Amino acid sequence: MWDALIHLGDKIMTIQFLLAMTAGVVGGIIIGALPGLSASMGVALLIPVTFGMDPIAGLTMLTAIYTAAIYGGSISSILIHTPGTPASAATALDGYQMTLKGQGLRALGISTVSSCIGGTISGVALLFLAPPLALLSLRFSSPEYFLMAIFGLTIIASLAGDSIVKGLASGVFGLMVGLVGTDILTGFPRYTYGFVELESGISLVPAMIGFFSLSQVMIQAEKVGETKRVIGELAGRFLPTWQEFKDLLPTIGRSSIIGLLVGILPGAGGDIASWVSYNEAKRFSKNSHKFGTGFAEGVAAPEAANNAVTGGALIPLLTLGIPGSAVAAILMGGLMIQGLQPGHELFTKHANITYSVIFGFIMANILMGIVGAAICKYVVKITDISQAVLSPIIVVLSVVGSFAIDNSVFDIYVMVAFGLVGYLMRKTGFHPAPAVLAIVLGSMAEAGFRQSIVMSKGDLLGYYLGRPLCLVLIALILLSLLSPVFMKWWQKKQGIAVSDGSDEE
Amino acid sequence: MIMRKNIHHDLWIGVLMCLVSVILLLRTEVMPAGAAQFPKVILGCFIAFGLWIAYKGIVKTLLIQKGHEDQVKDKPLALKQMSRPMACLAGVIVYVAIIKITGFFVASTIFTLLFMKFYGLKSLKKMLLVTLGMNVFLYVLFVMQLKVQLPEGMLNLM
Repeated sequence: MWDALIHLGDKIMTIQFLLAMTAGVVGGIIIGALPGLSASMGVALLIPVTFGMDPIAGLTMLTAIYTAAIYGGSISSILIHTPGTPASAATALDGYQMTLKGQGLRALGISTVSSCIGGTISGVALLFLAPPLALLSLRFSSPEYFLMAIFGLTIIASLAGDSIVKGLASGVFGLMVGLVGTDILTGFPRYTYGFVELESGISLVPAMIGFFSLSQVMIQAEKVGETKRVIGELAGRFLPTWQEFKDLLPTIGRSSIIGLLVGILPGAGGDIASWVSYNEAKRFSKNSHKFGTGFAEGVAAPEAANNAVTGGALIPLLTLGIPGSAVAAILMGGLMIQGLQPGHELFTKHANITYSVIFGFIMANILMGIVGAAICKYVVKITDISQAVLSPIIVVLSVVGSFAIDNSVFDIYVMVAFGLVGYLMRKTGFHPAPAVLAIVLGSMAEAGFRQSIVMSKGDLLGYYLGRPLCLVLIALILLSLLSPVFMKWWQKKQGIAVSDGSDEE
Repeated sequence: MIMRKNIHHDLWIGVLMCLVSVILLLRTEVMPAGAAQFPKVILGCFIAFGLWIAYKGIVKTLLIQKGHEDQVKDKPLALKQMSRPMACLAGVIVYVAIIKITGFFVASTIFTLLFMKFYGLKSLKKMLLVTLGMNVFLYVLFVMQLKVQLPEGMLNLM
């Protein structure tokens, strides 16, 4: 780790890296601020752009978009009472009240500082927690990899929103998509129906662009002609005073830790973290009665937490290859097209790339604070751009992005097909996020399953139960399957209305 | 008697899931045993979920038909609401189809202008500026920077 960190300067002080990081931060803030556009969509759309870039610059840009989009969501949440992303819904409670009181600029300042600190803390935690955790993957063999994939897939249940069965069915659909292509062990072309393009499987990136971008354009098409939003007045001081900052610091610190832990937990994303931290801030506060009336702590807590989630969510992704959320699954697609596999090798063989990206992520969080302070007043004007302008641009970007990965027109049709499927899934209560997770984890699950059958020599159950790590993973799978039931009970008890979990980013 | 228009969409989806799974399962017969192993497990699961969703669909349908619609959390799909998204999708399909004929940039220009019109944008100046700006951005990023060879179309090759 230290060797890689010593040589970090050469890797990150390049024009391409700095431009990519800045573009990621600015683009992310704008995407997040636009209601209807999410971090998932932004990352999916920009993966093709990173394909031709240096891996460090490309991956840093994607992680910068992720964290900046979460922050950007707070801008529209505070000023127009419309959360740019569901992760900023809790911010609207006090943020918009502050705007109504003529303190919109102050609310934006608190949100910027809290997001910047939350994101940076999670980046530092990623830097120090990920390497030891990656060592664990060295102990894994085929049975453990199979169970890890199953564990990742059971996370689907917690991503599923209202119906666990629909979430799991959506995941199984993703596994079915993963079946298409030449079988790795026998070389038999499965479900290719004579299409040469399908022999290497359905391309992940066009499928994700269709699922998240085209389907979103179709959803937005339903809302044509809706009334324009009213932008609240911008007044007051931007940065909090030193005394105010000192008062907010315990809330920001606590919320950052909550966000980090929630982020590490697969399946629980930014929206859950922001509501949990909002409730905890209220519980710890001496002025709990002021929450909901335009209170600064009510903005600081959810904003620090939802940005802390981003670094937390990258920990299981980089170390064990488990994308715990939709954006993490898409980011895994970004890693894979650069030829990088999550796990121990990322921190040994590819340490130069990995540590540079992590350091870039930390820098992006700091830059996000600076850029946010400079442009947030103006970004809100962008939320006024009509869907008539945004939608065709998103479609054209989806088309060019799907094509650019492999210079294949067939991939554009794949994107369109998945756009339709994604739209119909969203309309009928099946969210595409579990399907994307399953497409990513499908090959790992199948390879682990088939190899462990061979290794077990006929006694599959005995073989699995005789391995301590397998027992731990089985316990985690059971816990993961039961967690949605527990989460629903807990949310009901706390009176938390969390949106469809898969859309959290 | 169950009226077709009052059938909850979950019932259709459940039946469709089972049908698709059975068709794909039949396909495993021509595969080598090893290659068919995992698909059989996955498709078996999909059938099980399909049956469960169909069962839930029947329950929801009966509730709706008995006038207890308020007890059904996810309301039946309104096809009318989907007409605009479907028109939008049709536009995208036509756009993708003409890329091969006219090339990427011409097709994108036509599509963007018509799509903005479809959304009710009236300002011609705004439409032209957005289209021009987008094309310039895409040309600089994909053609000049990333060296992607975007489809030129049959018209350009003539």
